[in-house]
Amino acid sequence: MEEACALLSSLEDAKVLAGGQSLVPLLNFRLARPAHLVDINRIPNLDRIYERDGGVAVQALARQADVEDSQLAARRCPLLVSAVRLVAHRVIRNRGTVCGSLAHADPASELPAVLLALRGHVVARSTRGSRIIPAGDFFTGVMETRLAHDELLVEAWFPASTGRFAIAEESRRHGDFALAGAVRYGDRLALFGVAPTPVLADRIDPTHGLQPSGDLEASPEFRLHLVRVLTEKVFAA
Amino acid sequence: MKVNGVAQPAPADPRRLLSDHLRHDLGLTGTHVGCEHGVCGCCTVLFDGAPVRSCLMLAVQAEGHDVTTIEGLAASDEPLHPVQQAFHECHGLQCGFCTPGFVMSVVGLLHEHPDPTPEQVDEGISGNLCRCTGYASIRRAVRRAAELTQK
Amino acid sequence: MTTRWFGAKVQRVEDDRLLRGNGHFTDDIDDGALESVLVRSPFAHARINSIDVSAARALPGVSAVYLAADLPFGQTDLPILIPHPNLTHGRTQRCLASDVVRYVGEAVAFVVAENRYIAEDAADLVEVDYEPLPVVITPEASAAAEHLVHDDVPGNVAAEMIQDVGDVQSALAAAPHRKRLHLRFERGAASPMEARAVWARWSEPEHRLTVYDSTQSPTSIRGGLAVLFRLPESDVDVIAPDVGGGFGPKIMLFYPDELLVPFAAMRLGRPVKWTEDRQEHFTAVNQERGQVHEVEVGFDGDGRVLALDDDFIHDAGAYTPYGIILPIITAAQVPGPYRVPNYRVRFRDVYTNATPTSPYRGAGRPHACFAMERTLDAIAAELALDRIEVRRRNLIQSDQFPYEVGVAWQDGNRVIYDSGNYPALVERALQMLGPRPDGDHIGMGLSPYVEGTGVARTRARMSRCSSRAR
Repeated sequence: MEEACALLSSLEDAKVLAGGQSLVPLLNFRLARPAHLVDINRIPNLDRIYERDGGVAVQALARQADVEDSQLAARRCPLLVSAVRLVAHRVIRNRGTVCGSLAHADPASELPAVLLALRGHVVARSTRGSRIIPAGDFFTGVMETRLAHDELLVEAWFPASTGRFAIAEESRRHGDFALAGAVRYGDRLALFGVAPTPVLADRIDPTHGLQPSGDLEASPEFRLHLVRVLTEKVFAA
Repeated sequence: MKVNGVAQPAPADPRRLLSDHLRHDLGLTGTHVGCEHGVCGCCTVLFDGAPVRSCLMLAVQAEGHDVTTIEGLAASDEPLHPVQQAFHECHGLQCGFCTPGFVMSVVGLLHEHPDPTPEQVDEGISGNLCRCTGYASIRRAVRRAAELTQK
Repeated sequence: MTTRWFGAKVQRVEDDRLLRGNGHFTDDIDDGALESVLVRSPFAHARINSIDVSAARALPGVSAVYLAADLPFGQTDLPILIPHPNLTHGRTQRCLASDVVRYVGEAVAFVVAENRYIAEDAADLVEVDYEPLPVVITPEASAAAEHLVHDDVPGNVAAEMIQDVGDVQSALAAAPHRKRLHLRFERGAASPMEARAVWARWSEPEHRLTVYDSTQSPTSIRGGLAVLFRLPESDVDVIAPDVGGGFGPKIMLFYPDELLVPFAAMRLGRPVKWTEDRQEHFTAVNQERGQVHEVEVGFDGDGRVLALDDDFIHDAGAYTPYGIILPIITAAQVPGPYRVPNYRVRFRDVYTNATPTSPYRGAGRPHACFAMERTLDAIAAELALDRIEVRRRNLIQSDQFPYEVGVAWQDGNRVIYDSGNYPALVERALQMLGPRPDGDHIGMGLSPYVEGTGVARTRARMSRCSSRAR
């Protein structure tokens, strides 16, 4: 861990390689061209899923498949398990990590919205020490987070959440990126795929203030329509 | 790294993808490349026993691990692995390009769900694309593979 | 051959090696080959002001970077596979563009290096100064011709063809009912799981060119290469090994790489291979299916078609390497298994700044079938008749064969249906479908279709002759 942090601190233009399921496609397309990759997969004792403060802590190298199969997560945070099942396909989840998904911060991904809806946090580590960043502060833009260039996201924490929950998304095909999605926990609603970051929304007026983008997959109007449909769906469950 | 049980060196170039290393450095061309972004499933191999996309891994990351490719399921003088046999019996392949990826994914699926429900079958193969068969025969092949594996 | 195999279930003989991973696909072949990459236009329409390959050429590990000026055949337009007198303004691309690019994906430079990683690094260093030009994307925009894809093709029309059976104008005017339909088909791409790949070696001692190509048409490639490189055909081998799906677009004469790879192998004295990636495949490999039909049908109170006028545009893409058999097939197949006593079909094959089109499974037939079937549905809706009944009333009857449709087939011969019992076929299909299922269902459809067979350019005559062996 220290070595990883030292490398991130000393190297110019370095990216962390964990699961690689989001980063390597970008490398293959040459859309991302970091000068260095810091592969953290050999760091020992960084793959645990354990109980902390009643909730579920997921370390950096815990694979999405591990979370999907985790008894602890099923007991303490079933919403997380439901959400992980929607991420791509099982084969991808065998390598992809929960922390990686959060650090990558793709606006269309499920896990950032879950972290937000549950009011969880992440733990960031660097040569300067550790700090906790709450979900509400963490996501700042399309694929942008508060992580400094020399920080490693070492853990994500999801509070105990055994209340009513649901997650629903719409995609062209099962396993594709979501065109829009909704996460419900209790009375709280978080949306993904409709803004630069996951956003909290009001269940009565979920599209308020939203200006979703249009692209080849969906127009802004269609995304707003999906928000209404999915909000209804998650609160009917 | 060990590939199909045999110790193999990693490539000198850290940029080399595992799929390219297997195919072009080690001559194991049974693993195919269809998209290079993890969507099509053609490149699926077993990594420490679990199916992964070899196009989304750098070869150097496999050092110290066990990789099994399609060639490793059955030696050339051995009968076909039950999953391979099932695909043959059920006409689960036509051009054969997507087939190694499907077979490796199904090996992983049956390991987790030895007697999969139709939903689990569909879920299990949903990460692999085929442009020839229309999938119905592949579904049958998975069911048949479950039968053969449980025998 | 005995009859015991008809209808028998036969196990495949090729499965064992394919299942074991012992398939032999073109990219599987290395044999010390250099690897290559094509630099392609990111613009749908642009003028090329300059190309600077100096940095690319200087990169360690790069064997060569070729531009059009470096090729002996660089100023040669690639051939048209099936010319046709109506294709008055056919245009093909050159191996590498040097003046204008007309679709995203059009090849501009060819980089050969020790491996693909270095080749892609070098491709990144190729600097092309593009000046974007107005873009024509949809067939409708093309037909409106506010901008031209080719400066010397007026109205963007590569070909126009009109065929007339009977007197459609009078029949439409006299028809008790008339209906117009606007039918639009979007482009599609075949996307076989194996993208394209070519491997070539020139052996000077053997004076032999060996090419492996993920193609559906190795024979014509061989003939073409022999002509282009001035080799006896017997000195050229083009082998299609295992091919991971084709579906039509892997038939071309030629894709630029099919010339560039052998050329580089001959120049560099080492085998050369090229394998495209999926993203490249999406714009570099031929597509199909873009058509827009304006149909007008005249019919009587019983739902019988009296006259049909179909005016359609076919999206050729930026070039017409294959010719115009696609719209010809559509034109010939619209009437299908139905009696259309007065039929007029006109098509215009129009250029767009998009990937060229060539046959992709269906090859113009689905459009024709759809146009006719939707027309009959529209008639049924208009008259509140059962859709199947309308088809029954329009089918060619079993005593009307041989039945001449009145239009030309893709080989130029007249379309004549030799035999058939279409009404019986429809009844049998309905029996097999059974009753409509209870509960929620989306619907059931029936679409009768006639397949044109016996495509032949020429006739052959066989006659008995008494002769002795000499």
